[in-house]
Amino acid sequence: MQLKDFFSPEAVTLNLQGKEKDEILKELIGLLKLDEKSEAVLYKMLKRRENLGSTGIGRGIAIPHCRSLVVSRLRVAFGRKPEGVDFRAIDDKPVYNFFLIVAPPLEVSNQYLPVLGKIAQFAKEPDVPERLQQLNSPGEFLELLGEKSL
Amino acid sequence: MHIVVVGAGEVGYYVAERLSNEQHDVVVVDVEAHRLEYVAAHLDVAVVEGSGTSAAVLERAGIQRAGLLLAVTNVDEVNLVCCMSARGTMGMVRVARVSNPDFYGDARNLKPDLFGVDVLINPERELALETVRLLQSTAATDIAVFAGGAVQLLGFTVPEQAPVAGRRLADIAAEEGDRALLAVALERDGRTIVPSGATEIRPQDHVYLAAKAEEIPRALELLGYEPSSVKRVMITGGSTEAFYLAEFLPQHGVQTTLLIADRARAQELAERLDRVLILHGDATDVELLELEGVGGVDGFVALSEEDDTNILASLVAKQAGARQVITLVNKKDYIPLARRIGLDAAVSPRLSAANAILSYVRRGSVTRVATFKGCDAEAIAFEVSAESPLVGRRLADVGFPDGAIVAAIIRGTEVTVPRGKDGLQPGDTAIVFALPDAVATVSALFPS
Repeated sequence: MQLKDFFSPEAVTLNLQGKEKDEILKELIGLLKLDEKSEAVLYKMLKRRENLGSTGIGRGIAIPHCRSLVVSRLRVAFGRKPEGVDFRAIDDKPVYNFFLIVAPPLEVSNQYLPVLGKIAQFAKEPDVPERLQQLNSPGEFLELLGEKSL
Repeated sequence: MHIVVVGAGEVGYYVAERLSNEQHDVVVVDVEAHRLEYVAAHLDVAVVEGSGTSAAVLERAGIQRAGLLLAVTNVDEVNLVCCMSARGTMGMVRVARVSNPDFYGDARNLKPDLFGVDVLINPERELALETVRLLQSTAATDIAVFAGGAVQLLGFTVPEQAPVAGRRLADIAAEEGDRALLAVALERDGRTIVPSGATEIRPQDHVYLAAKAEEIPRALELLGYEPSSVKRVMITGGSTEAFYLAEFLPQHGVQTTLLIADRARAQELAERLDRVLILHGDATDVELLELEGVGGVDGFVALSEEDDTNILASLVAKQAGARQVITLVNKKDYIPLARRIGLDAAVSPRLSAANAILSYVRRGSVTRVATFKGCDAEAIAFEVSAESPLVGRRLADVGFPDGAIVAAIIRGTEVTVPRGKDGLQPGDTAIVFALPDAVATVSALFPS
């Protein structure tokens, strides 16, 4: 399965509203359309993960991720914040692009690590940060993923 | 030979120990008096306090009559200057330990001859290469390769349910026919023996095999291990070893995650390593490792600079279900311990350094030496000259010394794991596995 097959246009937003880390995490979770209780559980998990070390991997990209029972299969979302947010990234620079990954703890297909790896690989492509800044629609985001055929 | 070792750290100490055991005349130089006190109290070597970069200090260490200078402090620049200062001694081989990856880039901006260096050794890079090979041969605890990997010496622990357990080597060999596989040593109850056909393999034995690369899957099968490929590896630690490994693994198509506790170091490596997911976090945090999916990785490699951090992280990873766990261990005493508590393999910067260095000490017919973590034995590659008494005779008729065995013969591009009917020819390279007591006798059989 290719990376683009994991994303749906509904789970992509190019205009995150939040101005700080916690708000951004909440908005990303919102893209998964879970019930309120699940959202709260997931938020707590992601916060805890961020406290153990930021998932901001540098070059304006963060990959908040965790395993949780609130999802029954691997779920992903993408959010862009054109103005950038301080996310305590390893390079201390603002983060503009966020990839959220949530997988159930026991996942038969074991896609969590491959997807995490593919997103990391995507984020490391030299032209990707700039291309992400130029996107005009969720459709274009999916096209970009498809073009990189990861 | 008179040998000057500059640097009494882990690498210098270990190399000095090996060389003094081989009756070389060793002088250890270091700026730290307390380190020298330790060396003098434990080893049969002379010590000189002072900087190895100083010609006067080197003179006090007897550099003018030395055949070998080993500059192995943990500072590259010191090692290079040390070799420069010793340029005056004719006929001496100067070895410098240089670890900084910048010196090994495409640019090759380091010109060893400018510094009067004959040989550059890079233990960190060697260790990373060894780790790659260990990951590729699941379940092996030790590995040494010869002839560019065509023949390998591998150490394995024999599991209870191994198909070979309880069987005699001669019987196994008869069944395997001409397969290029040979058990060269067994470690049992803390003793290493070179087995005969009558030796029976028992569970919990640690067995060393010589095998042609293509026979390794069969070796794994005989021992009851599943051959499998490595797709995902997690590395912890921001050491130079970790950098090299994170650079090598993606070249083999392995998806690699690197977890580094030090933020600044994480950022530095993130800028230099394009194909690796680098995360900031503490490798001994159980929850973090679980969140990162450590249970789903094929290989987990703990390469921080702290032994206890590495051992702890490795235990967590093993517990969580990581298939193969490899642990960097600096302290000599921890190496057997690592195996006893269930970690799959330990790698040691000292041993990597020693492997690189020992080949240059035993000049003459020796082309390479490999040492092993679990036992004292060595694998030595000898060039066979026409003067060797072994030439033209069957190995079975030679009466090879006790405690030694010919593990492989390299003839041009052909590699043979020999049987008694095989023999040596001038120009061959013979890979000999030998216990310490047998090294001198074996070496005499291979005059240069």
